[in-house]
Amino acid sequence: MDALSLRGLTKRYGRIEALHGVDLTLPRGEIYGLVGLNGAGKTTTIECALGLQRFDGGQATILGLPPSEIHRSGGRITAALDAPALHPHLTVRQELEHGWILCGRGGRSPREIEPLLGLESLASRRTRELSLGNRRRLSVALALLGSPELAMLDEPFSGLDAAGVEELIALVRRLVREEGTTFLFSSHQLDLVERAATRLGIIHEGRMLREGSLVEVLDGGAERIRIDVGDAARALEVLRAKFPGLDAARSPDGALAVSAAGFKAAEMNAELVRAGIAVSALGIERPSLASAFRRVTGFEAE
Amino acid sequence: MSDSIMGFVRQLRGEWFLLLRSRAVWAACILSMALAAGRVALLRLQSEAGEVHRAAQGRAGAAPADPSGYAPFADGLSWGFLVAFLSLTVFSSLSIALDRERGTIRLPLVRGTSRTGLVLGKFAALVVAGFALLAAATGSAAAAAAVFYDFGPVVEDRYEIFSEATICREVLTALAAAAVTLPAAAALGLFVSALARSGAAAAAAGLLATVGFDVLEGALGRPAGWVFLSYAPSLLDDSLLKEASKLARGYSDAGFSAERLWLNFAVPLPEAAFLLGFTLWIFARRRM
Repeated sequence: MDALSLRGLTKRYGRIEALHGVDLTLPRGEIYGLVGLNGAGKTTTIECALGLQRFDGGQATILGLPPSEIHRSGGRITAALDAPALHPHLTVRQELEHGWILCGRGGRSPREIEPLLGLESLASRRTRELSLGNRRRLSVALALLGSPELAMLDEPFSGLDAAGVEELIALVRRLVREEGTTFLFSSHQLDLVERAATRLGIIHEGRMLREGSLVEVLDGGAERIRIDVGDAARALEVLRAKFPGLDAARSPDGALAVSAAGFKAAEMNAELVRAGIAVSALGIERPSLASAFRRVTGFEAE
Repeated sequence: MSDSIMGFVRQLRGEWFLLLRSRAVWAACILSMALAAGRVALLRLQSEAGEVHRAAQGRAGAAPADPSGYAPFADGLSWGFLVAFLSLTVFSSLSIALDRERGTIRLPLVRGTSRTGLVLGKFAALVVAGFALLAAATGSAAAAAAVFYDFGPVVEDRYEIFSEATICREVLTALAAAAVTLPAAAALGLFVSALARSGAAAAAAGLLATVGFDVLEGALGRPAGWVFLSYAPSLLDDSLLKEASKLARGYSDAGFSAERLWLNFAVPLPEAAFLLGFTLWIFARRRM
């Protein structure tokens, strides 16, 4: 059973259709990065999945439950949504204790979560005195209290400094590895999502344009090998003859750009050397989420 | 225990945790205690001043304004309860609306509390807090009355008009008659809170409903008797506490009619249930 499954989810706000039949599959133990521009439908998708707002069509199950019955999960689902939601009159420790009461006082306690997100020194500070970054840390800490099986984090990196991002990614990986926790986070910070996620969904204008494993979404899984050679035309002939079906082309700067799917860079290098073609550089270029996002959405930053 | 009951219990504990750490709640508690005791002390001062005035006019030895501590006690309760009820109205009006505004309502909903459990948890915590405020005001008024007065029967010209037991019974009935309206006050606040878009709007609407009823009560006539607010301590107090205070001063015409007394005890709890039902219905349909 998948941790989260959305099928044909639609949501309208009056005349505006915010979600157009969104499909999303999140297997257990995965880290799902839901990426999209502001207003793409990320938060609406998460809120509909969590039963915080109703959807107009489609089906959703979260840990096997419909969103309207999420309370039957017994605290196994958690979320940190959008802007950090805190009680301004409480201290950091009190806020965590309150959160722990709400999740039944089992699993990870406030004192255990504080060092994991660098909150020990802030324990006696009132939440209204915290910076945005520290509010975000606290919000994530609240979500990770207890023993959640599925954590949905909406824009978790927003406002975090570099150390905070590293701590969060390390913590997420640790929880997946040690406790089998499943994560979904939405973000428009593509580089950070790419580093943390094992599965991706690209949502744009309320439509899920691409979904799958990290490899599948990033250019169909094909890494590209860049080969700098003196005689590119001959090198291309040699490679095509030796590796039938090879997807290779000359790039504008004269180098060879070869799809790595099914082929090994070392073998190509050996064949070129054997044919007497000098190889001055050979490198594997991993396609980035940013380039995949641009390609899928057609969005180009000005 | 079922998930729903567990969610309700967690929400109740969570609300109680927040209320105990709220300066506003403690301020309301201190204010209701101070006003309850303050009014008793003020009445004692007025009584002393009256005696001095009478002595100056050569009428020393006339009956004191308050022959027993029960009347000032009931008056003190009236002020203390007023603060407690207004505070409860504000707290309950803020309860859902402010949580929605801050986004703090989402965590319990996501972590296993149903919408019904959340509203009932808030309601139960508010009612407990309300009764705690009433208890604090009662204790404060009783202590002040014990310091400034002697408790006893109402005696005039050596004739006992009302025995101490009668007065005690009337004051306790009045106390119960005021207290029984408290769950309805909390439910009214929650109802307003579920409808409101912001905490400030909810608090203003809750207070306006309560104070507005005070103003309009006279114009409504007999139908006003079917609204629980008629029996809650208010700025223009028509509650049974006022009648108990009159009785403890020896007024023989004090007290509610049998019909009004019946309405006082029969109306508030069904209205609380009605308002709570509406609140649940609205809350189940709102975007969180």
